[in-house]
Order: sequence, then structure tokens, then C-alpha cells
Amino acid sequence: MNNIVRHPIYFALCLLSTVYVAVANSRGWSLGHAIGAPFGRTMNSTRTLNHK
Amino acid sequence: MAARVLDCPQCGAPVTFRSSIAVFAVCESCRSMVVLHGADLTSIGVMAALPPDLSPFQIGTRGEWKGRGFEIVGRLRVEWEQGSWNEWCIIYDAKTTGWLAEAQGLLMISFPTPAGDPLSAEADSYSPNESLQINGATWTVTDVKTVTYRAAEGELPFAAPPQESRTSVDLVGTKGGFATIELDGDEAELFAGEYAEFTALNLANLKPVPGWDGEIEQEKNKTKALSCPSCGAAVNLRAAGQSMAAVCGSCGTVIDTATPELKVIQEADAAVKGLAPVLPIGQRGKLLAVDYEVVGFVSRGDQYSTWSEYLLFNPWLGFHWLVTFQGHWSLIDRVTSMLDESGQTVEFAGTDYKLFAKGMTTVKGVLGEFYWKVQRGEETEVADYIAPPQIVSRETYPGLAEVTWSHGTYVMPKVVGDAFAVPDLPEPEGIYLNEPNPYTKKWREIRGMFFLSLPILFLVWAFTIPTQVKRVEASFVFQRPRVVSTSAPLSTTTSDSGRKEFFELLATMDAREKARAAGIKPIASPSASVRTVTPPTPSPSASVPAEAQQTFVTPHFELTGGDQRLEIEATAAVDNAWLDLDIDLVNAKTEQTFPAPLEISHYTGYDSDGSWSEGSDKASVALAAIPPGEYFLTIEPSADAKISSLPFTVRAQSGGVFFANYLVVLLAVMFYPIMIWWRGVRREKERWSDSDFGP
Repeated sequence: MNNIVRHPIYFALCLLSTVYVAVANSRGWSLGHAIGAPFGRTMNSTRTLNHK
Repeated sequence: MAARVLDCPQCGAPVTFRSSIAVFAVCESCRSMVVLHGADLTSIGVMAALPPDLSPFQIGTRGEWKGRGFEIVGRLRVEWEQGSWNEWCIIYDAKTTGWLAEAQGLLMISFPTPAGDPLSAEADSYSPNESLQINGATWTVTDVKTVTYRAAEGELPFAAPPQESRTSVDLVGTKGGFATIELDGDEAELFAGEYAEFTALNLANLKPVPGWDGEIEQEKNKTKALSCPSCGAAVNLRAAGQSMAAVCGSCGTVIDTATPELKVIQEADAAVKGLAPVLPIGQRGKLLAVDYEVVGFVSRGDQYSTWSEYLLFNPWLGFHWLVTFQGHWSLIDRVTSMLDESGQTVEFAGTDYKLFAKGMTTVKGVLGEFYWKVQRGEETEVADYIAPPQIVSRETYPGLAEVTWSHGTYVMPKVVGDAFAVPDLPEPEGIYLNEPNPYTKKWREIRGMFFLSLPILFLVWAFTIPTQVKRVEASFVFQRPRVVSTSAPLSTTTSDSGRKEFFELLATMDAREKARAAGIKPIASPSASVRTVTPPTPSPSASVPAEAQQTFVTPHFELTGGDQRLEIEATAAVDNAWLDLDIDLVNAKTEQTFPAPLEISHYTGYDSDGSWSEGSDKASVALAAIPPGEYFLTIEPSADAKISSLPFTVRAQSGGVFFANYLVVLLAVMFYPIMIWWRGVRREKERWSDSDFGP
């Protein structure tokens, strides 16, 4: 427990890494998708059909 | 304990015998030495005065040893060639006589012990470092010396007139064992016991120590002053009774302070003026919760370097050393047992220490006072064993044939500076032999988290992998389109039958597909499940030939639940050729498309190295976080010029994971621990590069 207090950032990294892997797996995120998500972008280039 | 009180034959004052086996006492009133013969007392002379000292013990001091009480009833001041010490006579458990020795700041308790086998009474039969088997235990002789009684007080179990001598053989055993063989004429008496910690004795009725006890704090730093026999300057004794040598700060003469005679141990040396200890002699401080006074300073060196050693004194806890080199500090304590060396390793208190350095050292300069008769030029063979931040050292004194062990711990310079109010201590340089490795410490702190997080991370990753579910699979045949002329208007390039076919196809398509197909003309329909269209002609006036383009569409399929990964895989039996599939995943409702281009290429051949193969007849692409909904795939194939017709299959399946997520997270979790582990290894390498005994 003392070591967690001494290294809170590393402990948080381990915790977040585990959470991230679980969420990324269940939501089908790619690494690029996860990186782009906070900025409203994904690595899947999408477009809508052109009707003309 | 039934005390007997008799009258002093000299002055008539009461003389008390608390112990039933006491036969000798010193009258408190006239200092007559009286010997008990039956019920009568006989005076055998006047006892010499005891030298003043800072001992916290006195007659009447009570304590506990191994769960039973004891009381001090007498004292014998004993001296030998290299110094003197107190032997406090105790009555243990109200019936046994024992001894509490107070020497060089160490405490030893021993009791007369019958030896199983007769002990030799010849002093020559004992030599330092010799091993003896006594009563089934192994003992090592540390020194053999002639001791003389200087003075006494209280009561003793034998007559101890001043200047009476005998031979004393000191022994140490394992785990703090201590013993003495007293040789007197043709008798050899064994006293066996152990080293004792002051704080473990639960002492009461101690003598207040001038300058140290709270009630006499005003006497702080008042010390016993001597006159230098060489220059007459005042020499202050800060650990009177414990100091065996003091250095005149004025002329550098080393004075024997073990006896009141103040003999000169070493003549004056002007070099004493050049010594400038960063911790001044006489400076007091609280280091690691213990009050100390700096009483001595030694400049010691070997052929490569010189370092400083400060002798610290506490009247209850004895002496400690602060050793400093290049701004690094270690607090050193003496070890009271002999340690076993196994090759280049020594085990102490459950820890293995590795040999780091070994060599002869020389005392180059001294200031203050010491518990042994220090001299400039004194040589010591030192071996340092380390287990940072700790160190144990073996010191061998060639002249004394004596071996001592000490144990030290690295102390941060700021701690020393704060303790002794010296704020500007030199900054540490380089890596000291027992300086703690900060990376090793960090590694030890986080390795638990690191090794725990790895399996947890893997298990979480493995158990959250979504099951792969096939959503659609369709087979098509790529047909090389006919080449059409674009030199004529569109209406003229399309046959009536082709136009009919195209509009029949449009009729079967939903509104979106119609919109997509608008402006393109149909060529052929390769299978019932596939609709084939050609792209619109680029321009009625274009003069270059254009290839018609096929577009295939899969049946619709449903993605349920939340966002998910979708993998699209295509297979085609390409042989030294390629097939490009321009695939779009299309949401049937929102018409949002997700491009998923694929290229299947497979080449084989032979060269000078033999056969080779490149590519395969399969390719796949994964789309991330596809929202739920109804989807279909559109595929526009193009192929190597030599392919005129090629069947291929496209399959879409949801589930599975992107391995890069796990890989990157794994690297992130591993990076910091591996980095500090590696830096720790590098630092240890750097430390051991200064040693001749590196791993």
C-alpha cells in the first residue's frame, strides 16, 4: 500500500491501462480510434454516399 | 538480599555488605580498603581515588537482564596498556555475583562460569584469533593482556588492592557472546556472558550525567579540562572516563588520558593546525533521534584517497562514527560479534555483504579524544563489505593482533547538516560505495505493482475479447469488362439490349442503390446475387478508350449491440497476379460508408536462392468501432491485366480485437519499471567500476 502512495502515477497508469484494454476490446476500438476519439476523430475514414 | 553493616576499622563509619559473598569493600567515608574475615573487618590500606568520568552508572543502579533484576554494589577501575574501563560488580537475581563491564562505550554482562574442561592458567597458551571450544561453544580470542586494578569503590567478591595485576584473555562468541578468562597464578577462572544494549537493561537510579541530563543542562559543554604536558594548553575531555587519548588542539601532542598521569603518547605535530573538520569538535546534535557530541576527528587515508572520520559520543549509548568521503556520509556502529567471511561475502543480521575494497589505511591526522590510544601513522587493514545503503567493515590492527567489525548505514548529507547545524556541507560527488541506489529502491517499490499488473492486464484483455461472429459471406466472379468507345455520345454507345438490362437491374435496387447507379450503364449480370454495373462515361467527347467497371453488392446484414470491430476478409486464387477490391461498408439507413480497400496478391518463382513466395491468396482489413445498424458491402474489383475472369469471396465478421491496444498498453506499463531497473543496473555497474572485487 505504501508503494502505491509512493508511486501514484505508475499505479494510475496500471489501472487505466487495464480499464482501457477492457473498454477498447468491448467497443472494438483500434489504437488510432482511441487516440482520435478525444478530438472527435476516428481512424476510420467515413463519408456519406454522393447521390448526384 | 540481607545486608550486613559493619563498622570501618579506620573511621568507624558503617560499611555495608549487600552481597553474601562480598569480602572486600571500600569505606565511603575514609576510602579505607577493608577485608571481611568472618565477622571482623581488617583495613589493608587506603584506596586510590577513582578518576572522574561520565559514566551513568553508580552503586545502587538497578536494572534487568534476561528477565531478572540486578543491582550494582561495587566498582573496579581496571587499566591495561591501551586504556582502562569500569567493571561494575552486580548482584544478579539477589544471589549471584556478576560483572557489568563498561568499556569503550560498550556494555558486557558476565558471570563466573564453571568450565567443563580445565582451562590453561598459562598466558602463553592463548593467542589472538585462536578458536577455543569451551562448554560446547566456539569462542575466538580477541586479545590477551595484563590488567591492573587502578581503584575501586563499594563491595567486591575479592580483595582488589590498587596495582594488583593479573592476565585477562578476552573472547567473543557468535551472536554477541562475550567471555573473559582471568589468569591469577595457577588459577584460571571463566566469566561468560553477552554484550548488552543500554536501553535493553531497563536501568533505574542512574547517575545524572553532567551536561547531558535535563536537570543539569546548564552545565552543557562544560568539560573536564587537562593541561597538555607538552605545551600546557588546556585540553578538554568530553567523554571523561571513556577517553583513552586526547589531542592537544594547540600543539598536536597526543596525551594518554587513561590514567591521571597524562603521559605523552605522541609528540607535538604542527600539522594539527591544518586539520579543518567540517563538524567542529564539541558540536552537539541530534542525529537520527540520538543526541551526540563530536569528540574526535581522524583524517585517514590509503594510497588513493583521504577521508574523514568523526567520533560521536553519547554517555548512555557510547561511541559511534560518522565517516565522510567526497560529501557522502555513513553512521558507523561497532559490531560486538565476530562475523564469518565466506569467500568475498560476509553475512550480518541476515544480509549478505559483498567485498568492495580492501587495503591498508593510515591515520594522517587526529583532533579531539578517542577511546583507544590513537596515534598518527597508525595503520589498519580494512576490508569493506557492502549491501547498500549498509556496510560492514573488518579492521585488523597489525600491532595489536586484534580484529574488530563495524556496521554502518549511509546517511544523507542534509540529515547530517541539519543534525549538527552545519548547513553548507559539501555536495556529494560520484557514487559512494554504500550510497543507496535510488533506482534499485524505486524498482523494489514498484516491482510488486509491475508483476501484478502484467497478469491482470493479460487476463482482462483475454476475457474481454468479443466473440467473432460471421455477418455475411458472398462469392463473386470478376469479369474483365469490355472496352467501350467514348468517342461517341453515351446514348449511342449503349445497345438497346444493354440498356434494357440496366434498367431492369435498377428496378430491383432500392432507392439508395438507384441513386448510386445513376448515370452508369449496365454491362452484364454475372450471377443472381450480384449486380454488375459500369461506371459513367467520363465525357461524351473523350477520345480514349475506357474500361467498364463492375460493382458487386452483398446482402444486407445486421450489427447489434454497441460499437464493435468488423473484419472484412477476401480470398481469391490469384497466381502471380493481383486483385484489388475497393470495398465500402455502407450503412443502409444513414448511407454512411466506411472504406475498406483490400489487395490480394500472390507471387511465386525461382531464383538463385531457390523458390520464393510473396503475398497470399487472402487479405483482410479491420474497421474500428462500427456503430450498430443494417449494413451491406459494395465491392469494385480491378485486377492484373492478365486476369480476365476470377472468382473471389468476401466475408465480414464482427468481434475480435486490435492487438495493438494490448501491445501499446503493455509497453506503457513495462516502460517505467524496465527503465528504472536498467538505470539501477547501470548505476551499480558504475559503483562497482571503482572496486577490485566487482561482479
